[in-house]
Order: sequence, then structure tokens, then C-alpha cells
Amino acid sequence: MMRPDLASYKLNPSFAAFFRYRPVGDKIVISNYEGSYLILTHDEFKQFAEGTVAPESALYRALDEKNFIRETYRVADAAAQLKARKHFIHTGPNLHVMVVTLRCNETCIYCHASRANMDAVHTDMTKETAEKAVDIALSTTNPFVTIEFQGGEPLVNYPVVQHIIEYARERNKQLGKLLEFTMVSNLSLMDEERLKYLLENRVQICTSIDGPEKLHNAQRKLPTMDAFQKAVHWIKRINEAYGEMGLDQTLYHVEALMTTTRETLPLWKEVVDTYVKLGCRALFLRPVDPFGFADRTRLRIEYPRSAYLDFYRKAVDYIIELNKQGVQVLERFASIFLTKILRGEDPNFLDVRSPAGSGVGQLAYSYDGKIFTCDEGRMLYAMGEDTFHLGHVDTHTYRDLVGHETVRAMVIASNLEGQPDCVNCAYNPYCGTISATNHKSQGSIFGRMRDNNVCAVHKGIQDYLFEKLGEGDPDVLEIFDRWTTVRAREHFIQELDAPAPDAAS
Amino acid sequence: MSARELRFHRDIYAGEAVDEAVKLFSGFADFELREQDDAWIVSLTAKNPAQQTRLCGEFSNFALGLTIQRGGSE
Repeated sequence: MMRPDLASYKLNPSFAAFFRYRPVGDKIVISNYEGSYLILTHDEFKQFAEGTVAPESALYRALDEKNFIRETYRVADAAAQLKARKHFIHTGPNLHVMVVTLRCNETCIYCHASRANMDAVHTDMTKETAEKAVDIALSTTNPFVTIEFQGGEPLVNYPVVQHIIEYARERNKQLGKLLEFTMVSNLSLMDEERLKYLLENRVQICTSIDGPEKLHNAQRKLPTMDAFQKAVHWIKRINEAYGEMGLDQTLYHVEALMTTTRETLPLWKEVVDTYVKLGCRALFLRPVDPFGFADRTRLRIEYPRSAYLDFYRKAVDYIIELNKQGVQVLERFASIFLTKILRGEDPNFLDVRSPAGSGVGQLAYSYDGKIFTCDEGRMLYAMGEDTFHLGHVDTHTYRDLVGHETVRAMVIASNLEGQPDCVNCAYNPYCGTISATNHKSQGSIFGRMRDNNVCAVHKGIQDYLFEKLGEGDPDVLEIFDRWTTVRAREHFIQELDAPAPDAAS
Repeated sequence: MSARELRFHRDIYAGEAVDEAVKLFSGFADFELREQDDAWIVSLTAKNPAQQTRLCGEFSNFALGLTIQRGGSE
């Protein structure tokens, strides 16, 4: 990375409008408040900073077009752009995570959820608690509501999953929200009857695949040591069922997530190949979080973030090569950042937005009715930290929760405009920080970005993406553009006039 | 008019900031203060009932601002 020698510049503050800059490779990325960007050579950057850009030049036109020139700065355009980027601010939480049980039949070395053994039936959510949680979820001011079934393993408490679906659909007849259900499951307890019910009730199904069979089975342990085989069987079966229902399988398929451990790092190619072989259209190369068992096993599974970024670059380089050969697969982090960078839109991924989604984009409901700012907050509670505990379904209203003193603090803490370092970072318009992770890893909801792991990952990924954008390979640009094309999966939105689903069907 | 209970977690809010906010807002509301192991609990009753919700919001924001000015909860 080559830094500009600013001391040798004759800076002219009257030429440039407000901008932030960051050297990337042999170029310099500049971005403005509303999130437009340009990638300049050092010579172009010098002209820009010194205000010596010739008015008839292509550089001047590019700067003007992207609103980087003070004299011609278009305030109304900037305001409209910013409003579009921050569309999520004016609505309440849309994601409602319901932990229907802590019981899980798998034992994962990095389990973030603090799972309980299968005999811990006291960690099952009751139908009464579930109904109260749904009532709060549906009282959100957001017209979109996604209820996400989490655990533990949600299929362990399948009757309550069914009850939530049926109760929420019934309640929503009066409310008219755009309601969706998502289930995050290891799939090992799936059967044809349950699948039929979930498909009929339009429940989107997500699972975990950590990479090739040996790695997956070593990290996600079933007593029978066949977690991979079971997940793969049901991924194929569910995708096949979507096809039988006449749904476009490029759009409707099981989404799989992975968690990167130290063992994953050398297997970047095998991980990508596994996903492609399964017909997955997206990989999410997520680093391990410092929650749950991962905190206890960190000496065995953690790694320097520089090693993760090396892994990320190799994996995404390979994904790009596969795309050039006609294989349609994308990396989810890249897709989230590129949508913000190239489209000027925010895909509302709650961990990468400013302010972050805790309490104002999501709420998490634990099996016992306790409510948290986010699923990470619930995980921390299970580890003995109650900082992000907001209340209980029995005693608190929606307004109590979203206006809670802790939520206010988290919104301020995750607003990058007030965050030291972030406020000067060229990636500010595209980035986000996670208060609960900051609190766990750095003892402050604000965090310290200079030695913050999430910041290192976000910056590293965006460095990679801007390097690729700066190289200007038309094939790569076309691939990146495709990764930002959001196609709505309308099948998963519940029909308001649908007959009440029958649990026995 | 019933009091509204506000819960300022000690990991996030400075006790001195909460106290200072109480002093400043005491012209507009009656306060009762309690301490728990992990939080400062403030019960707020607005002198003008119509202002209860707004006062709770403004008071919380003020306590947060004072905490940030102090550089955090420590």
C-alpha cells in the first residue's frame, strides 16, 4: 500500500468538497459523505487535493459527476442519495430471532449459541411464551417482519415452531405485515412430513456447511459422525422439492452458512468446491465470533485476522475464476459491500450497517421469554453478561424495548459518523460495527477500531474489492455487478388470504 | 401518573452522568433512584403527565451524552 506524501502537497481546501481517502494498492480510493467513490492514481489525487484539475479534463468531469467538487456540489442530490442509503432508519426491527430451544443434537466446537444437551427440556420455549413473543414482533413499526427460528436446534422443539407459524399467520390477518419465516437448522432431525409442512408454509430453510465432509464432521459433531451427510441429503432434497413446486432454483435454494476456523484456512479451494458441488449459489465466508463455546476453544480455533484475509482473498479469487467459467456462485460479504459501493443501496445486513441493527433492526427472544437487543446479546447473556438484556415478554412492550436505554447507547455507539477512525475512513458509507462484539472483545460498546477484529475484516475485504474495481477487468466488473443484483424471493412472503395452515397436514 | 422505570446498565452508563442528568431534569420530573449490581435504576414521573414519554427519552439521551462526554462508563 503506497501512502501519498501529503506534506509535499500544496493543499487547496476550496476545490474539493468533503471527502475521505484511503490508499489501496498503488491507487487511492476517495469517497464522499453520500457514498460516491472514485479510484484515483497518485497523480490524479495530487491534482484533486491541490485543486489543479483542469476544468476541461476527464478527471474534472468524473469528480463533478460524483459530487466531489465544492463549487458545483449538489446538496439535494447528496441528501437524496444519503436518504436512500439509510432507508432502514425510519422503520423498526424487521428481524425477530426466536430461540425456541437451547437443546441441540449436534456439538459444534465453536457453538455461538451456548447449546444445551438433549435432555435439557427446561430450555424449550412454551407456546404461551411464543405467542407473547409473536405479539411483540408483530407490533413492530416495520411493515416487513421476518421471524427466524434459531436454537439450539429449532427442530428439537418442532411443535412450538408450528405453533408460532400458525399463531403469527392468524394474528397477521388483522395487521397485514409482509411476514416471512426462516429456519436455521442443522437438518439432521428433518423428515419428509416436517419438510412438507415447512414447504407448504413457505418457511425459508438455512443450514450450516463448514466445508468438505471431513472438516464439517470434525467441527459439527453428531453421535453418528454423519452431520455432513445428513445436511447434504436434505439440502439436495429441499432444492429438489423447490423444483417440484415450480420455483426458479437459481433463486430458491437452501442457503448455507459456514464458520471459518483455523482448520478451514488452508482449505479455501475445497470449501468453495464443496459449495459449488452442492449447487449452492452463495457462500458466506464468516470468521468465527467470540461468543459461546468459541470463547472457550479460541486457542484451538482462532487465528490472526491477517490469516483470515489471506484465506478470503484466495477463496474469492477462485470464486471469480469459477464465475468466469460460467459457474454462478457469489461470496456474501462481497455481495453486501458491493451492493453498497456500486448500487448506492443498503441490503440491510444488520451487522454491516450504520447504525447497526441491535434493538432497532432486530430483537432476539430467548426460550424463557427474555428479550435481547440481538442474538449476540443473548449469547453473551448465556456467558454471564446481561448488558444487552432488554426485558421480558411478560412485562415489556415493544416501545419499552426499542426505546430502551441500552438500545439508545448501542445506536450511538454503532453510528460510524461519531466513531473515532471510522469518521475519517473512506469505507465509512459502506461499513458497520457491532456493539455486542465490541463489548465482548474490547470491553466497550464503542470498541477501538485500531485493534478491532471486525474492523480489520471489514477493511480487509473492502481493500480487496476496491483493488479489484481499480484493476478494471471488465469480466470482474460484470461479475461484481451481477453479485449486486437483488432478486426478491416473494414466494417466502406469507399470503394474507391463505387459509390457516393445518398442523396435521 | 405512574412512574416509568429506566435501567442504565453499569457497563454502558456512568453513575455520575445519571446523577447529573437527574439534577438537571428535577425541575420537570420527580425521580427515585435505586442501585442494582449491574444497573442504575431511575423511576421518572413527569410533573406534567403529557410530557412523560418525551421526558423519558430526553432524560435517557442526556444521561448517554454525559456518559460519552466522560469517555465511557468507567
